[in-house]
Amino acid sequence: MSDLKLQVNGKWVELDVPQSRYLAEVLRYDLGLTGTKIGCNESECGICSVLVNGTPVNSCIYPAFKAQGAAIITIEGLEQDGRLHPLQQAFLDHGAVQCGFCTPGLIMTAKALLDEKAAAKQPVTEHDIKVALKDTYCRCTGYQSVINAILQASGQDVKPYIPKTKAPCQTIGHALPNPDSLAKITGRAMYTDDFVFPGMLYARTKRAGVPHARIRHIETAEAAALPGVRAVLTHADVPGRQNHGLVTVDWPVLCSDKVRYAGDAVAVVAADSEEIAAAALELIKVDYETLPVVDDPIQAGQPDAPIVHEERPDGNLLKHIKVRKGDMAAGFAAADVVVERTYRTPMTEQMFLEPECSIGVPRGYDPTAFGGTIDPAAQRGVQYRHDKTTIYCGTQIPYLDREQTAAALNVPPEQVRIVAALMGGGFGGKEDIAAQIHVALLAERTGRPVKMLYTRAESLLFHPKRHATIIRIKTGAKRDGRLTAVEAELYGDGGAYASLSEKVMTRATTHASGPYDVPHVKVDCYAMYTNNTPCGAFRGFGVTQSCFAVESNMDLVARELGLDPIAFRRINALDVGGTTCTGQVMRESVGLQECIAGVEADMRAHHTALGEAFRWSWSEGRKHYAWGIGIGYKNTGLGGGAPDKASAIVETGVTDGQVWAEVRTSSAEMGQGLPAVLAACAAEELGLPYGQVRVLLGDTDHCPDGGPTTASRQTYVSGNAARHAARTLRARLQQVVADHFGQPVEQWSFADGQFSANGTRAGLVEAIEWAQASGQPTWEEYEYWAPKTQPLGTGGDMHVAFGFGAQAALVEVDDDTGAIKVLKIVGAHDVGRAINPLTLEGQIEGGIIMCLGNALTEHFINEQGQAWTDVMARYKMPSIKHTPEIISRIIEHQTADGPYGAKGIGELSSIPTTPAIVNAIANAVGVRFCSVPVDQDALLLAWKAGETECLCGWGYEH
Amino acid sequence: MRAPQTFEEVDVFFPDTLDAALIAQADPNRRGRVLAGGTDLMVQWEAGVVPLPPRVISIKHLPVLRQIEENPGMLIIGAGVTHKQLRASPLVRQYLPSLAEAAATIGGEQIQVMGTIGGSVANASPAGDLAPSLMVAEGDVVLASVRGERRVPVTACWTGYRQIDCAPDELIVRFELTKMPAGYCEGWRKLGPRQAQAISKIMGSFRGQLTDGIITDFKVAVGSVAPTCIRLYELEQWLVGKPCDAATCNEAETRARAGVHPIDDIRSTAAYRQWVTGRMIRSFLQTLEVK
Ligand code: FES
Ligand code: FES
Repeated sequence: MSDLKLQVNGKWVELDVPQSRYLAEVLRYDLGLTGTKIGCNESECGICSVLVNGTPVNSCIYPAFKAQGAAIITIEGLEQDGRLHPLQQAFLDHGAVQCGFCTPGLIMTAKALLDEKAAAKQPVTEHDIKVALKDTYCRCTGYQSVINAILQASGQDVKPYIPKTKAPCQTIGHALPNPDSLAKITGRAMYTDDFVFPGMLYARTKRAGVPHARIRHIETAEAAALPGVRAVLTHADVPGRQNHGLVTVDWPVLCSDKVRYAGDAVAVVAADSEEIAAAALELIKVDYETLPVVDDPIQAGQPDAPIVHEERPDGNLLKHIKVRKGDMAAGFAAADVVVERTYRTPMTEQMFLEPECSIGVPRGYDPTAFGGTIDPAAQRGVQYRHDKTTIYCGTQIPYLDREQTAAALNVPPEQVRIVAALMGGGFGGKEDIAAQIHVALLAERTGRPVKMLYTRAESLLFHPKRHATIIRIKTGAKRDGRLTAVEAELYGDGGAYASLSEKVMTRATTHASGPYDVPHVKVDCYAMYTNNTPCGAFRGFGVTQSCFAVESNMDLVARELGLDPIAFRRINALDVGGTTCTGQVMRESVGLQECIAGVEADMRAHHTALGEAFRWSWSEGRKHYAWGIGIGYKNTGLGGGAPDKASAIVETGVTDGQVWAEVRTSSAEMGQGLPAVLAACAAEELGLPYGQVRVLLGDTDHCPDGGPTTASRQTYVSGNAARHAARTLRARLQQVVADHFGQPVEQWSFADGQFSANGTRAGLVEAIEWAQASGQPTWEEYEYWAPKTQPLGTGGDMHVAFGFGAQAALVEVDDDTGAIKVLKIVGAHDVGRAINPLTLEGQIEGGIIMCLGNALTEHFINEQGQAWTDVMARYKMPSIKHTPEIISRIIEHQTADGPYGAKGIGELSSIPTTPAIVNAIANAVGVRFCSVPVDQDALLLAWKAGETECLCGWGYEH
Repeated sequence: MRAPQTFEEVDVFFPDTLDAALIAQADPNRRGRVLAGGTDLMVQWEAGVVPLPPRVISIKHLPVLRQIEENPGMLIIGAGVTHKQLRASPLVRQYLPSLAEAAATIGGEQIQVMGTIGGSVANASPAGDLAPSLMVAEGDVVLASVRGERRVPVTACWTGYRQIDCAPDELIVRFELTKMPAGYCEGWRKLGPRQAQAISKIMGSFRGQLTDGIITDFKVAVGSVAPTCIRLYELEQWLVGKPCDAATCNEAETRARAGVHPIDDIRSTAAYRQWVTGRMIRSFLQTLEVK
């Protein structure tokens, strides 16, 4: 230990810490300045950036003593006299904050740039921003809003980019910042790792390390004896259900007889410090009998393949999913052209910037027993006496966490409470159980709060990813451009446990003929178990994969037919009256034709602005340019006959003469902007200013069940629940007012926040006060049920609604190196209704960039069941310098049952980008790539060898 | 002694003077791994790629290592000079322009201010961004120890994959690099930008002179095609005396491809690297022609 003196945000502090402590640790854990986030601890993501004497450094690898005597500025130090820094304000205005986990790092890095430019009296350019921030990642925004915000903060007149939408109502349709953004830009927002409970222990998980093995023996005595270790648990310590799982309960809480992938949990340790817990892991000895590994979904189906789950009846087959429509023989007989190809997509990683973290607090926990205090007003958190086993975590499905944890603890669900902290991104990767059950077990065993924060490496190893798929697709069409038949066969690598494989691969299957009206369709999909990391939900939910295959084939067919790719798509695009491959007749809200037309108009406008005619491709020197198009659709809501409901509570009250409302539901916010939607719905119905509506999410003791945050469903179901709850509450208040004046309620009406009848008026304040005085509740809970859907195979409505989208990509390919640059994306998306154009555009841009990564850079690599991608640096995701110009159009074909006509958008934008880019590359250089990410090595070599197709890029064995 | 498991257990030394650092390094029991900017080493430790050393020594803050000076023939650059300093220094931009260019492309702002030339050289990565520019400039790496100073030509300082000619008690203290003479030009390129998964870039630099259309001097170095950054001496010799025309470019491209023998490792295919090396040489010759 030695003395460290720092000036932090203007105040001198002196600390006694080891020489080896990193600056991020000093700030976060010693000084409690938790606004500085840690995303990777490997100098890769840049979000831990703080200023040391004015220069931005990655504080996660910056030895604190290097900053001896220096002035440090963190995100908490930016506000001056309660006023936001211009960067903070601009990030708010531009919607450049989604999950907010990267925001402090982006803002601090940008501040250094602005300060430097201001000192040199130079203007800040977009190029400067891209250079300075190229090592600071954001997984949510897609960076366009970030660039605009920084330009605005530098004093330039840059307006937020908001596409045109229908005329707004009072609140609905207005561009407004997400209610929680303010906390995120000031560093006050609390993510799970920001909580430190008095008496808290730190936990780590012993992972298998081998992909497939029988466990002969687990020895924990030595670890348990290590000083500072408080508990070591194995499967024998799980009192209740041994497995968890969202659909199929096949995933061991702690493995007992065998391990099925390298990330399997075998034991957990809680200790006084993370270091001790880590040291204890080394002392746990597991005796394994290694088993042969199956790491490929096709191989998994072979008779001699090693079996992952011996107890299952169908070997490694998790699910065979079928779609049948029409008569295939007739369909292909009618075709003049038939194109058949096999496409491959890799396993990809959500790479949310916040690694999983859970804190378990035991039943009966009293902070005062550990030197803490109690705040009588607190309803949760570190100054609160916990009467239930409570888990603080970032989760997409709080109620299922509760159920699964309770089952493992062998207690009724009501004895467990989940408190959702803010989530630093999820994208589907935080639906399965991570450490929730482990910390609950450890907390109950030790009687203390227990925190388990995954390292980035562990996060990569453990959590379910996007399915690697192999898709063979055969498309038939007539000369006139009409599609006659589509036949497809898909193999999905589900990895070691079921997770959401069945659902994801079902979506891949039902979307495998694309958003087209195809008379004859046959699709077979095999979701397989392997010894790879499990696969589950990831934005796009299987449709990202099938859309790539469908839309690649569509371009090939168009070429064979000699048709323009856009015209060909318009001939076949679904419209009202059309039928999907599952037999669902579209009755309303199909804006696809308009999306395609919009994209075409914007492609043409690009050239018109340059004073030239439209062209699909051209070359300039050693650069080759081309456009490519992709269209897609995505269901909103669970569908398939699954009961789909969400509940919300809307409560109102008056404080200091001002009305407030609060919306509560367990639905999750992972940065997508749900609070903005819920607040807008309640504000609209109650005639309240948006700023007077609060939103509380994800606390199972205070929020009714909003169901899983998946399937682009929350705007639809929870938005509806909030809207109906607010309406019902308003009706009750109207009754109260009518009763107060002794008049029939029918004579009263409500507008602009006022009840009125025959010249008599009453505001919400009075109404609420009269309700309270007469003992009537001033809150309402509403359980919203989405319209009934039909299971796959029965025809009828499989989904309540679909979002539609079209995108075109303009790419540049370099003759020397095969390097691909996406210059521009134009997109049009039918979202039903834009409830908040600002957060909506954020979803669109973020989805596009994520899908650009899917097309060009992202590949989670397993080799024989071992992850090669074991650090963030081995997973290339788009950085700010990949950001193309994005032109976005919003199409609003309202859907009758959606809130104000809205459908989901969360996933849609992340679907057509991949084929648009791959099609553009094919148009630019004449080489069609049948796998993603497009590998520039293979592309260049194929191109130079004069080949026209490249079946597989690097990293694929088959 | 058991290797430390976490950085918490590592002993970090911040010497006040270079002498204090050298004295510490002379003592096998006090000697530490050098932390310059730390950007590379820390990452490797965190990732478990290399074991944690029991001790590290941080020297970047020493003022003597942070200077850029000149004498009539040479530019003298301290080992602790950051990428950002290299990028911004008028001296470097004038006399070692490809080095300034290379430094400018390394990382975002955080890496620019942390990473140093000494760290980059000590790391000895075959894909080190600065290596090709140093190799074409020629000059010495100056190493210091309590035994005195020792000079190693930069063209010979890397002895193998991630290996450098530097004794355990020595520290890299500065680089003395030959200024680009008047009438010369330099260029730097990094090809294959951060694109598909884990493909490492290929980087190269040249320094050359063109007199009345004839190549009178040409030096070229390429990184990421062999275990260390390499000079293409045979190609250089072949080029001298040739006119800088299309025929020479074509032939040079072919010869460059034949002259590199990349191993076909996980990061990229050998054929791709050969191809790109050829294109790089072509673009260098074209640069020479237009400048
Ligand atoms: S760079 Fe420091 S946490 Fe990622
Ligand atoms: S807002 Fe940037 S990572 Fe979520």
